[in-house]
Amino acid sequence: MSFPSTNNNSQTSSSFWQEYHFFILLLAAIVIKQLPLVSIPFNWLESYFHEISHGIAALLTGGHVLRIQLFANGAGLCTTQGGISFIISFAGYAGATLWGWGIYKLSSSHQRAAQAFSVLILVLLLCSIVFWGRDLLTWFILAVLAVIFLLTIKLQKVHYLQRLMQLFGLLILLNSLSSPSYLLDGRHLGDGAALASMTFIPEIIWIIIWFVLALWALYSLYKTARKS
Amino acid sequence: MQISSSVGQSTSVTPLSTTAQNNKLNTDTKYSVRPISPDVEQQQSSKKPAQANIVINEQALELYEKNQASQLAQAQLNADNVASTSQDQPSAKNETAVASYQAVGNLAQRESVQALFGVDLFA
Repeated sequence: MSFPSTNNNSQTSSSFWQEYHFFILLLAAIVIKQLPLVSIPFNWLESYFHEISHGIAALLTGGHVLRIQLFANGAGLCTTQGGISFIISFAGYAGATLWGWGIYKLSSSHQRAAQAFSVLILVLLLCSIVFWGRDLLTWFILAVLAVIFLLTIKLQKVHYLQRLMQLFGLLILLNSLSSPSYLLDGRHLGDGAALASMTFIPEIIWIIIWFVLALWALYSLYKTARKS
Repeated sequence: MQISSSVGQSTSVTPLSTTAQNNKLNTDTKYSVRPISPDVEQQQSSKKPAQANIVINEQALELYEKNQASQLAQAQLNADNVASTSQDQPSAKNETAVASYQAVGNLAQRESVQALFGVDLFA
């Protein structure tokens, strides 16, 4: 015996999710970002991807990563030696945007891709704990992030993992959209000031570039979501 | 009345009555001091400080002489040592080899010092 009304309802909800899942996840990410305690690990996540982007840029340009420090308030510090300073400085905010975009894009493409990518991030976190973490607080924050990714991998239904990874991607992207604005404090500190001193292009221009980049990544994800 | 001066010269002064003396003192005060010749003044000034400041300490002199003697002996000893080490000086080839060996040995230390300095911080 069939229940046409129930089927219709489930079909409607499924199509609604298909239609608006990007906006639902975006709204969830915005709400999570506003919650006082819940938002903390996600701030750490963005901070970690920012610092690791500096580190990867240093390694790719022939330098070394000496230390990565993460702080409870979401701040971070990456100590490098050698490499191309311009690329390393630029890679912080741009890299976080790329990570957010990549996590969402890959987890949207295939469930297995989402699984593989979360394993990759877990390995990266473990490497960071072993090679670049030097203090107790950083180890703790990295361990919390590793546990989050471990739990997502352990999820029985890969479908949920996919959605969770998409949410993480959007949270990182939202953070990388807002965090360059923290540089507008008139103190001339941070990556924007470093790039300004290297290139004689004002700090505000670099902040705008990072903001536009994050906005473009968000728009690209929206377009991908509409297509699917 | 005979008054002997500080330099041994004598001057005769006619005695005056007390009132006259008083008047003289009251009116001509600036002439009460007798001027002396420049030669005498110089002699006096050169004699007084010499007698007051220079104290010859025999012990200090002895100590100074001893120190000088020991310094001389030390200098001679050093000169002898230099002469003996110059005889044992290794050849230029050996010196280069030792320098290269030490440079390799210091590489790790140099690396750690470089790690301390010349780092970039990205926040």
